[in-house]
Amino acid sequence: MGMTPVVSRTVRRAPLIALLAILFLLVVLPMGILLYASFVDVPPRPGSPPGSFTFDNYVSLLSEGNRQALLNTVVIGVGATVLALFLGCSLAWIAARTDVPGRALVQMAGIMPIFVSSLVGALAWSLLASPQRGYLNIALRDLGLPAVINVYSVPGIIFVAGIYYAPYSFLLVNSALSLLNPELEEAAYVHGARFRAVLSSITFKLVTPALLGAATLTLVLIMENFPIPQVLGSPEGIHTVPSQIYRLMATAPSQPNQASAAGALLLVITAVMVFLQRRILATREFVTVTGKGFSPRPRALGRWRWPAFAFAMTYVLVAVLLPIMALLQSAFRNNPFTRDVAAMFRPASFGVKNMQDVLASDVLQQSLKNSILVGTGAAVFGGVLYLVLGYYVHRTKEPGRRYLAYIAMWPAAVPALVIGLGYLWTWTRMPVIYGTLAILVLAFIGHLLPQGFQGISSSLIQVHADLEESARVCGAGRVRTVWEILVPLIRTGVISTMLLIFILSMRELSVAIFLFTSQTQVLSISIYNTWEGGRLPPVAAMSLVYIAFLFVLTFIVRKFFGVRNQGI
Amino acid sequence: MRRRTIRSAAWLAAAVAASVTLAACSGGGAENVPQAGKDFVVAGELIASAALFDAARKEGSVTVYTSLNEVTNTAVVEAFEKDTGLSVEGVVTPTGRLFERIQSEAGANALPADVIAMPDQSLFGTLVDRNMFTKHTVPADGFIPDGFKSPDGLYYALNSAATVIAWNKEVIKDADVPKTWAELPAAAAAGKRVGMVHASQGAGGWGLALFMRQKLGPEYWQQLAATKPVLESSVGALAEKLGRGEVAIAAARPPEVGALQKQGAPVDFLWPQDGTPMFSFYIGQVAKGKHPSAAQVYINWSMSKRGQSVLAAQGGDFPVHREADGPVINGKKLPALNEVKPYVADPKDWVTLRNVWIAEWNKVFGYRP
Repeated sequence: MGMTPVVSRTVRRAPLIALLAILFLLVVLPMGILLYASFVDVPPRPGSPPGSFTFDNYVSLLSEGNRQALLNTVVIGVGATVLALFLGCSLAWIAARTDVPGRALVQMAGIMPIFVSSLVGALAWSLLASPQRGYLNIALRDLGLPAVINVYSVPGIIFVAGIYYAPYSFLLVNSALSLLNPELEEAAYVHGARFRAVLSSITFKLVTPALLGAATLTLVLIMENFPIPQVLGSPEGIHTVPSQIYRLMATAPSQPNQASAAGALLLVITAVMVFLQRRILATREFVTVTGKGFSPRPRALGRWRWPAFAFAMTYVLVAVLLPIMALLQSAFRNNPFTRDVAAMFRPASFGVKNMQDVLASDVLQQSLKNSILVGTGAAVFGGVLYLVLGYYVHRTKEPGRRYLAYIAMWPAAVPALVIGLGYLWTWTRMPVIYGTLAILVLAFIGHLLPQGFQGISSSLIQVHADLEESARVCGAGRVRTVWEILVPLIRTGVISTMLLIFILSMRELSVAIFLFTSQTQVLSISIYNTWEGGRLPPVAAMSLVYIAFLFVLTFIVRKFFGVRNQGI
Repeated sequence: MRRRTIRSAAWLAAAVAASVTLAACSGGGAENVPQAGKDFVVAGELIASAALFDAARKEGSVTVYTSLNEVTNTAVVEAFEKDTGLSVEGVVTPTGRLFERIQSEAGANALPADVIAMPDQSLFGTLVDRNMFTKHTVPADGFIPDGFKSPDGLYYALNSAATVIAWNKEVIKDADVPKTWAELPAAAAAGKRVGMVHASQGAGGWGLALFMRQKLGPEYWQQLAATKPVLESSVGALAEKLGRGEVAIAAARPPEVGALQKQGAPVDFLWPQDGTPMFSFYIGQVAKGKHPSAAQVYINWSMSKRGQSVLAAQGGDFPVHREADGPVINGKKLPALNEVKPYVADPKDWVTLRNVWIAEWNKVFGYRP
């Protein structure tokens, strides 16, 4: 072709350079300025003189209150992750590999809690189980039983976080299980292995990448989550690092330098997690989809069929139905004060005015429209980016892949409140798009990078490259190979990931917090503002609106895009 | 499979398009828009000269950055748009975040605001020192007392906001509610949970803390802290707990209590007999704003009898215009400002004591921000 070696090397490096540039803008720059802010005494705003170097922000992290907060963060993180993994993996296995009745329903059960943002979930559980006025306690009191449920506690927080983050494990492990070759398990049975042994030695071992990915992602997300500990922990003085950050940012003036230091702490923990995850994965092969054909056969559960179904439905009751009931109570009642169970169901207590006002308000309509546009943009453009990134990291031998994978996980560590600052400080100078919906799309693409990258990676790892290599040997270019061979194989994973990104950007709370204007306000901001304004009934009403919307959308997507559990 | 995928994509696109159409906001036209070439007058009061108003109409819209309560702001904006035919855009977000955003965007020369309306002398003062605002005198200037306008004409106080004692009737009997701040610690010690916002929450929290120490004595903080009150990060979150009965008594703001009553919550409030701490929102015209005429019309309107009456009626706080209608909460008119023993701290104290006293307050109340 006649290119000099330098030019041809640059051309080969072009994808890496492009990806690095994009990640630099989306992740490294905003986080870099936060890291810088943690070491100076004044906020590094555009146009302001540089502050002086100081360790004070980090020293204050060592105070007794903050040490306790860190301990709480780790305890809650680990506890909730274990619960989330258990729930998510059980449901994923039941839905993907068994003949459980109502499989479609079980599939929905696994992802339903995603429709509810953790703020709304925490609020709903506060309504349900607060020690004085929780609905469940009111019911217990009426029944003459001791009202012992107290969600304002560490176990309460672990419980709520566990059930709300289970869907990540479900999604990642479900895709992986659906690609699993049952011949491997059948071979084990033929050799006399028992069910439990097969499950632990073969099935779950083979989906270890997805499991580890889910575990890492879940742990990091739970540790950086602030609504759950803020709503459920602060009444009794239980703090975590993120709820400390929230309070630092909620003062006027806010304290971004200290908040950045706390964010940096979480970032370090994330880096360690990701490092460990990659070490474990690097040493083995987890390929299960190869050039040989296979037909998966669901495992017969026998007398465990209905108990398995019951398990899934119990999860739906606890994770979805009870909170929705709490939201319905809040949205449709005439009086936020509930004396007893009878008051909860007396027809006179209810009214539709609140819901009517919310539905008719310009704010809701505009926010919903903006959210749909931003969500679609993030899902589509983000999806492409995550696919390209995942492909580059897992399918090429080009240099720099490892760093891309690390950078891709960073946004999970830093709470949205703080990363919003990073965007405000670095993206304000962006011509044309600052102040528009496009900047919100960018913010969500950057912030949801871990979920997107992890989702697509899990599927990619399981498909052996020999299928694509055959295509390449026959003369297909890389792009064609990806489009005609790889993407169809990981179709379930890609669609699920894009749907997940759409849902998360509709409900995520909220990186857009410093970037929105009245014209570009999205639903998550409206709900957040309303929550901070203390008006729960409109929060409940708006949440019900978008839960219904997301539910319908997910149903349509899964039905028409054929997201099923069979193999190819 | 490819055909199915394309068909599915078409369905999805149709569904999304349908939702977007359904969610499209209805357009709102302004009625009774004043005619061109005429002074803009409302109820006999001059808001803007013909020249100013025509210039404003050419600009078409004004961008307002404010931390006024979202519900109040929406109502005020609707009234303004209806009166003038000008549209209002901008950002409505709590003071801490608003302040951060204003400074960052201004530093990058990307601040689109024409008008800023936010509380707190310290914060607003910082912006004034940065030469954020330009001088402007409103037609209603003669009706605004000296204490509510800046001596150099750069800004006005928009309202006078109170903090009062509120309670949940189902959790504490009316007769048991303390009638003064001085009696509050005793009521809390008797088992009735008290809630308040912490001192660094914003103008309300700091104003309350300052009032308590200056008016009720240096021991008061310790007395109250000993009862372990619930400390919230926003007036809204506090109001929500009050409405549900998680706290019995709260140092709350009348607009939030009024909103709770509107929701049907069994709450009420009283004016404490030993004084009512007050703070103000301030409004100024941004020097580098792109819609200077519209900004001036907005500020003129906000400080006029008409605008002040709307703000008082919708927001529940006291107006500063001498002849404006007083605040109304759920149909009930509030007493006149001079009847509620308003306590306005010395502006110098507000600014200079702030950091030191808030740090002390945090220590006394065991609050670690």
